Amino acid sequence: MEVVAREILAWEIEMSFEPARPILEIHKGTKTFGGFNAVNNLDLKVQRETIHAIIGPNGSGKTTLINLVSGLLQPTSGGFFFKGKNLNGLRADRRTAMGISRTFQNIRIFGQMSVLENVMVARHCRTKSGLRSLLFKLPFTSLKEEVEIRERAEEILKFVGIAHRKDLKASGLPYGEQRLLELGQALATAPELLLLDEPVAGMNPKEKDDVKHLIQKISKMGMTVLFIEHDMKVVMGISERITVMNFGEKIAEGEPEEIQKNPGVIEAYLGKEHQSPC
Amino acid sequence: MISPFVQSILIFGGINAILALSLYLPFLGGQLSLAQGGFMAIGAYTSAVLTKNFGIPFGISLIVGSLFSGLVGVGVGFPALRIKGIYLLLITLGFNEVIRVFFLNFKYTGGVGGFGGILPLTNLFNLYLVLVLLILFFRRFQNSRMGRALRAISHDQDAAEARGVPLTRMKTFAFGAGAFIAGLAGGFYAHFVMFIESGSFGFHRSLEAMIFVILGGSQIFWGPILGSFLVTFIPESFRFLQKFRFEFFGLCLVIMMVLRPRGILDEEVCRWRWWRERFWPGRLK
Repeated sequence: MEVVAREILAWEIEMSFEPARPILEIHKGTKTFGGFNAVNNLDLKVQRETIHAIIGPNGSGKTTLINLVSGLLQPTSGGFFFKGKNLNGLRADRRTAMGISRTFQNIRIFGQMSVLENVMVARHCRTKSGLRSLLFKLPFTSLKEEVEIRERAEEILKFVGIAHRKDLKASGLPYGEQRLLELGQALATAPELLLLDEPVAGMNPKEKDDVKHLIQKISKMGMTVLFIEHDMKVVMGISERITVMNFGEKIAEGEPEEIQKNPGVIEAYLGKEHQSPC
Repeated sequence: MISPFVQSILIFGGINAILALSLYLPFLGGQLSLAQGGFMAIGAYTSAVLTKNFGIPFGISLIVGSLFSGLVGVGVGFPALRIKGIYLLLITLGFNEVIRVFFLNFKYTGGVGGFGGILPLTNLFNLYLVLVLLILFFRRFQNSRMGRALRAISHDQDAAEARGVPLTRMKTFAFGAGAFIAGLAGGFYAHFVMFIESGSFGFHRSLEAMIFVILGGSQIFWGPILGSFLVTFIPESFRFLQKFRFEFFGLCLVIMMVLRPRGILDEEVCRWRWWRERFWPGRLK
């Protein structure tokens, strides 16, 4: 264990001399669940302002990887660096404050709250009004910051295209719009790195197209997008770089054209061609 | 002007409303606590000792007692952070017993014999002033940045954390503030009944607080307030039934929970629209 820690330290020192570090660096990231390596010795670099996709068969450790980066899980070993800062040991809310935001594969919005409130909650780490403003302000006046939060949240809802639903209960939204709401929540935290876990799963072709354009727009605004997706049309259409995972390990990385031709990738998805007996 | 009997019911109603709000605050963040009776005891004993033995003014001793209770609440809140639902209930229940037995054996505050001779300083004016201030606070809190964060935590705490809500800080705050408010209720209680013993802050007191919240409705802060006044008034209005009045009270509880299983008040009922649709349908075109 200590050998690994020392190795990571040496690597960190070496990396700190590089002029333009990638926004996210993972060095020998490992996560073990009771003897099973969900993510195994994974190295990954995500460059600033790119759209980076992670693909791989089910159970290959993609979601675990996102959970490790967003702080829902802590790694068994390995180094995780965001903008050159070590992420290990930081809880998820600290990481969100640093600029990492995510969506979940199974949508996790706050169903009993209104659509607008869902987005307003996500402004928590960018605002600071606390108990003092609650106690020492005249009743029946509204707080300035509260108005700002509301305006910002409405802007974001307009951006993802569900502004007309803002007063509805979030659980009452149709499936596709729930995904958009979750994306809006993630954007409301003003992230620099956006992690999307299967953003178009279960959507119809029209909705898929909308989300595709939305991701491209987000990327143009200067955010880095790291996303998991099974839909190859979306992946090949928008990503600038693709990492392929299988059994918790990285088996290929490159631009879309390279990945499409890579024999290892084809094998992982379709299985090995076996000799017919006759 | 008001008969002593009505006055005492109004005062008990007010104290119960404060106690109900004390349970409601951590409940907003999804933490169900059965320790509110214990926190009430801390506030009651501390403020009573301060006014009786040290001659400190009521207002100051009330606040000191509540702050002390809040501090203990933060202390209990920390180990309770990672625990939810039924397990949190058990931990807080255990804690309530710890406090009760402590005051049962603590000689300085009378031990088994109870603590008597407290000055009668609670009156309708100061009690309802505090209740109104609390209502104003909750009215703003519910839709504030912190109130929203607490509601998000009660829905899904992992998702709330991923949205940047610091769980530790919010949860300990809710627990501590709830204990503070329970301390206020305790202080008013002690200076009204003038004699306190550990038995009156036991498990049944915490359970009562939970009945207020569940009966009145837990979606909006008016619910617990309504619940506490109903639970205080209904047994009194059945007084003509004499010994059977609590049977009828129990029956009332059952009927109300069948008719409105999520509590009497919810957000919809508290909007004008709900009433207009039912009583002046013509005005909605």
